[in-house]
Amino acid sequence: MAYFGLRTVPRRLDRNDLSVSETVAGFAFHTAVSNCPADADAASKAAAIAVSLTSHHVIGVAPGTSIGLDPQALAACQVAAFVVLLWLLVERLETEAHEAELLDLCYAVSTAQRGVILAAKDDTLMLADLLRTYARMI
Amino acid sequence: MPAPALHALKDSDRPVRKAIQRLRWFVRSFREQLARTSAATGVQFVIDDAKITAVFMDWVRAFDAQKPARSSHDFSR
Repeated sequence: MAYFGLRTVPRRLDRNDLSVSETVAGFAFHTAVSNCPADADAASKAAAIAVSLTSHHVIGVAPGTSIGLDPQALAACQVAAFVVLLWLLVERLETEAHEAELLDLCYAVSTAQRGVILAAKDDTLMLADLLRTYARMI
Repeated sequence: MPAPALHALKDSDRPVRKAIQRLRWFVRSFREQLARTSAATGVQFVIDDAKITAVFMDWVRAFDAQKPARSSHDFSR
């Protein structure tokens, strides 16, 4: 599911030059989760994973490396990671099975709040607060 | 048949006062209302997802600002 989001979001951000490494994604997920305190809430874990996905260049021109990533591409990668984690965090309500719709909403919110998300950079506390707030709103 | 806006809430077991603060409800009910308007008038509309999201967030921001005690969920930054 996460990989589906990671593959989909860069295209939504008009970055067809970016691709995703499933291997690096798995490593980034594992690294982030294993470094999280056991009592961390879902939003805190999601923030840690988002930072890990970005810092490990899971999405990139040559995933796993920073090769070919200009500032605009790096920003797109950071927003894409945020969109995916927000999507995974959003509560699924009873009869809903509209994953694509939820992903669209997460994309729209993250795009609208792009400046705030980019300003947070790798601040996991701030990212967790943003994820928590937007997830509740969606 | 219930009014379109409330019809969009039929699948939710949450109180309306809570469900209404969800972007998914806002967008669905807006789309449903617009589809009915299109059917009635023959006029086709296109919704700008970015703008409808911005409108919703502005509304939630204004809604939160009127609460007696501000929560920590202020995304006006």
